[in-house]
Amino acid sequence: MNKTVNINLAGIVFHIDEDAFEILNNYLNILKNHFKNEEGGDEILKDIEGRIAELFTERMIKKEAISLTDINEITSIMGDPSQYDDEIDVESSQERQFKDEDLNKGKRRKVFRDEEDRMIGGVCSGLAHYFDINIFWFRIIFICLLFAIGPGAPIIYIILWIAIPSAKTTAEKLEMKGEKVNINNIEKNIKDELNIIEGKIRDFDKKITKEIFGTKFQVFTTKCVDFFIRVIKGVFKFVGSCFGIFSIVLGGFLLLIIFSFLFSREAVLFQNNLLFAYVLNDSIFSDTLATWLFLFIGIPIVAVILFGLRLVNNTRIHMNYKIGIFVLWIISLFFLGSSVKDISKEFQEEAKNTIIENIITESDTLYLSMNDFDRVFDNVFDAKGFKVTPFEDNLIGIGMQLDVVKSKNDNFNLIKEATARGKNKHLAKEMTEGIGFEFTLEDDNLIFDDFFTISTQKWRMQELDLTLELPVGMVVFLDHSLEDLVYDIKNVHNMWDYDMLGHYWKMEKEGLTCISCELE
Amino acid sequence: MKIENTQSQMRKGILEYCILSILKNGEAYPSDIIEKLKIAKMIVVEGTLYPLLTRLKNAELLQYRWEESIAGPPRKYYSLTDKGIAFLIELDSTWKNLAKAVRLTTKTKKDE
Repeated sequence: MNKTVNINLAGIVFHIDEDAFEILNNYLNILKNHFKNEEGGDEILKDIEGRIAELFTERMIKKEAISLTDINEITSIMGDPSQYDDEIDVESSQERQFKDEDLNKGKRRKVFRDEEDRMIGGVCSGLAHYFDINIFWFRIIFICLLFAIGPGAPIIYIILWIAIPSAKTTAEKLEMKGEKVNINNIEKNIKDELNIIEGKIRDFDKKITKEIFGTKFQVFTTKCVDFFIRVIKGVFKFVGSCFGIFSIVLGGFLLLIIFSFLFSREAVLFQNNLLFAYVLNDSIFSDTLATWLFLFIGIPIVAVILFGLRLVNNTRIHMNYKIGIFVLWIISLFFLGSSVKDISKEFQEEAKNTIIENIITESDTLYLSMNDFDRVFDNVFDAKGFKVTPFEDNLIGIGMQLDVVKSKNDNFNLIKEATARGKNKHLAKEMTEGIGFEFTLEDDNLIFDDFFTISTQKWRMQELDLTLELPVGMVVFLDHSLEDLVYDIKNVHNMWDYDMLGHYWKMEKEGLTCISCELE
Repeated sequence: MKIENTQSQMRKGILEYCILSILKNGEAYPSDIIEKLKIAKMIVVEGTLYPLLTRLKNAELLQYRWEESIAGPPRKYYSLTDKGIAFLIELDSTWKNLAKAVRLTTKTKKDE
């Protein structure tokens, strides 16, 4: 099925298929351009139209409507302007002048709005043609202007819209792009012209409206509606491209962050990628893991950027690339999954290692405190509740817990219970044995280190629980420096750990009893 | 130097001479002229003729009258003006001289 339109050619009305009409219209426009500067050009055009009408009439005997085949035959009978020049190389002085003028025009580019490639009025695209810069950058600049100078930008745009004429004829379109205006170029542009069929149809519809209804009012309404549709379309496109630019900028920014986060040794934005160094077994593995992780996170971001580009510049990616990228993503997912599985295996088994140290003191009161270096292990590990942290290129443990319980004998004992994980029981045990904890005893002062050492330099969920066994009748003083160490120490008053600090506690048969507190 | 340039140089003028010659026998409308030129292989595409006819008409060598047609739009019937006839006579002699010159020069080459 084909839509047909009616045309009036040399006073005769013809039915013509829509696609055929486009070709014919183009052909006549090219001729019009060719003869526009020639004396009697209109007459030549009318003669040619008359001849075409005659050829149509011959064909209409057999059928109802002119088809594309007919048009192609007729245009090849009539030939195109470049052929005329080959056949009659009549160079009158007038013509020579005309050609020189064309050459001059070719050298000088003119500013036109490009309505074929427009978001709103084609100002950006026109300027882009004039300065020979990719239109994408012009739109970016415009959006930036919008943010920089606010409402001034649309006003500038509107002024330019009004001031710059739109490129309507083929010659103008060529001038806009700075190409030489000659017949061959116009010919080349035929194909381009076919791409704007949509626009032509709209123009034609307007003409039809004019012909059928004839009243100015209706033409006016059509124009109004057309204008509104254009404005609304423009606004949508504008919002779309704003969103697109936002996507591109955001996506690019995210990619940069992720890249520096995963690959840079001197990470700028985040203070480490040590997680890999201390968790995984060798650095090569950690790099490949980083690559897969980068792909896994990066590909969706790239997708966002591509989506943005499509909104801004109508850049489309070939389906094969899309599939390729998707497959790569799936592969990264697979490798990432297996890596995660490998890593989780490293934590499969748990082991405990208990060391009991006898604390020998002649005093009946033990003063407990912690080496207070007033240092803060600020680190990702720390922040996320890891009980280890890299410190001066070593992995050390932090966050030990201290409990005070009743001794089963008459000795002060410090029980160090180390916990760690590993691929198997044996490896987990090795990990626990790598945990070392120091304290100093000066007379009746028991001073704990504020960290424990991890000689294996791998994080396997090492934890250290300290338990001080206190014989009945003995006293401990809990210094304020133990703030981070004391954890859930049972006492007869059911006092909170923090409140217990700064007091003397005596071990009675019932449990720890405060002997310096002012109890209510 | 391109052969096409030389060819069009040669053709230049001859086409006009041919058109005027066709009209010497009486008035004709473009399709008739095209038919004859096509048979003579002087033109390939029809579009070539119309600018030429208009140019000749503007140079007052040709005139035309409208005639209604049963099959299609009204036709322009072209005929020679007095100026055109005089022009053609000049061209006739020019052509004869040219043809003679060509014949002579080409013949000389062959004989040698």
